[in-house]
Amino acid sequence: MSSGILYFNDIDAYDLGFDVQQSWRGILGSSPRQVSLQGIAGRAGGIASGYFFPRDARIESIPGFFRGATAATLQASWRTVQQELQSGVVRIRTAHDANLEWEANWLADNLANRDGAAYDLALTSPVLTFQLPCPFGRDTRGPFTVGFDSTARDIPGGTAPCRARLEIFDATNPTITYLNSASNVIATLGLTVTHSVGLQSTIVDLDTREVTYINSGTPTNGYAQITSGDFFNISALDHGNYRNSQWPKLKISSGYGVLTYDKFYV
Amino acid sequence: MTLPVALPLAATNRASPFLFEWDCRTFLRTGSLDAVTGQVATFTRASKGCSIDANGNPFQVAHSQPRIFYGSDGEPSLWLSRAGTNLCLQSENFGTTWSAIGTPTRSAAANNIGNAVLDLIGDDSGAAAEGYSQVITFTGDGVKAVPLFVAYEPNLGLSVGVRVRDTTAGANRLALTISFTGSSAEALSVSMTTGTNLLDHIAPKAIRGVDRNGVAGWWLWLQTTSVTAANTNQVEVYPASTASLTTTFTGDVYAGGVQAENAEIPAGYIPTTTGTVTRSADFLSFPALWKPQDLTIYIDHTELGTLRATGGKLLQLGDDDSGTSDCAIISAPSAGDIQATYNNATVGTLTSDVTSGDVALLDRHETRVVVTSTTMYVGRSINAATEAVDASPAGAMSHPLAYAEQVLTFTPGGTFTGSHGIRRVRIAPGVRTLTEMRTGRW
Repeated sequence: MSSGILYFNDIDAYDLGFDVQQSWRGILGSSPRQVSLQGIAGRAGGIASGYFFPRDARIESIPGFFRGATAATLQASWRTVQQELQSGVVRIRTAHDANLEWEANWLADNLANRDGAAYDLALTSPVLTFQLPCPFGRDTRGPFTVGFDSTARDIPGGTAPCRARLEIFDATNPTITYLNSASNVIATLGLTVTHSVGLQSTIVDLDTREVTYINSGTPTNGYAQITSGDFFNISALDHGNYRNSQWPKLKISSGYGVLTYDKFYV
Repeated sequence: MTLPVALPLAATNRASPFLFEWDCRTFLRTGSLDAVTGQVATFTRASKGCSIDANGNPFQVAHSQPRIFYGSDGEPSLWLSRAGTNLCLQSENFGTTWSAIGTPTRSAAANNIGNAVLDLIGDDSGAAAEGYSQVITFTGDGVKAVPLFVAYEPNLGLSVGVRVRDTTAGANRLALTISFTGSSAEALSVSMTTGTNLLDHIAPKAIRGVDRNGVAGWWLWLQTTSVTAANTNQVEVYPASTASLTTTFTGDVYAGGVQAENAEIPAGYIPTTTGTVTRSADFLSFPALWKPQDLTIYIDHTELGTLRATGGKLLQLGDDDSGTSDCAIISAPSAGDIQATYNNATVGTLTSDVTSGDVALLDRHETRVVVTSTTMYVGRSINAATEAVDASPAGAMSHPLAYAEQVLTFTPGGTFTGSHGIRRVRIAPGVRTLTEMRTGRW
């Protein structure tokens, strides 16, 4: 039997031996937004802080029970859960939305360094604690791609900023323009480059701020191609209206581009 | 804080249990074609090529840049296909090279789907079928692919006639009526009189994009009956007519991206202007350095034509067609069937196949091949249905799988003739079930 409430790496936590306490408030709705100024190495000044989502890590604690009627079976359940959670990143998913998952590092349970009655108590009422490097849930159906050209194209997103990468083709000194859902310009990014049609492209990673120039399949650093404007973050939360499916947009003045992105939700 | 590098979806909590693991989502997330298990990809294509974004729109990506194909189920795949040549000139411009039939109206570059440009062409005569034609010089008799884009908006025409006409023989090799009903292009339907509509026109099978105006546009993959290459064959597009050339209709339609290929299945849109244009084949390979051992090979792909012809190949372990030693997954003994082959100088050629072939384009195929020292067999699941497994597997091999060249290639054999989108590929040690190959747990 499965509980269908919480999944670790696509396995029902109940089947692993961990039953979630009903008091757990759930993983949604705990992503406080912060504002910070971000600098870019090698470039003067800072970028528009409102568009660079802080994405500070957060801690999530999940109370529950190990399944078992005896100390031995409780301990066996604990071992099974430990085995699944240790050694790296855990993907957490809940029954609320099967298409969202969080990447998490398991930090601890509350069994360590306890003896006797304290250990027994912890074994019967464990709390699994995780650090989520990104506080937002990622849409597992992604990544998505949207092509765009001189006509602004909608970028359907989630309720948090996207993690996105632009690839630009067949362009001559293009300016990429990011607009809100009302078609007001939010940010521009200008490149000085002339692509030979069909042979060259430039990739702008909006998450890592890396710029890569690719010539017939050979990549080189393309950072110097950026000569005006700044990086930006694509956010339906800030620049669209998620409830009404009104999305921020992208366009490019020369050539065309393809945006590859993951949707995230607060 | 900076986010960590995105991790593979399959097994983020531990090292991959596979000898080889690649999946398209990881590629899209990281931008690297390298395998999750670390093998470095070699990918080339000596020309630009057509990619299909998540909205169904075509875009041309540059030389040696991977192409993506989003299936009708929303799953991305890496699109690998044969070389192709568009024989139709001025594929996005009915104003040049094309011959007017009557006095059609035309508004150049009035719309686009992705970066395929569409003209708005019209028939304003209630007494004649007007449109455009172009003679195509096919090579070799046989069935030919003739895809094109159309987009519709309310208040335009209600039906379009498309033909490939053999004017020498006075016969149609392709004839169809595209009809729009209601107020939305969602209501597009295709009625074939001659030839085949390769992508069932009923959504979600069809490839449906979004035109510049936010309205659905359609990419139709059409196939002629056998043409006689020595005759004069011309593509004809009638913006307000039918397959039988109804003369009384008037109206407009956005059309363009017309293609004609010496192939039975289209393999991506290739824009042309004054001359024919060839898109080179995609080539993808990885080193395969694990030692000879019992293996399970799993490939999950979107079918785009590879299995439609006998001998179409999905992958090959050991890039050696000489029979020295290689293992491949091909379409055999007939088109649509799946066959695993193992060529070895000692044991000869072993085969195992599942023959209940169903090769509708855009279907998802999961193929699993088990190769051990005593047997080899293949199984296949289509659209996640129950796996069909060869009930009469090949006999003893007397040794674990070995191959002459330590390479895993997806476009093998020198002349790659197929077209498919790979979603994920996994190779596991030992004998694994389909569920185990899907989940990575055993």
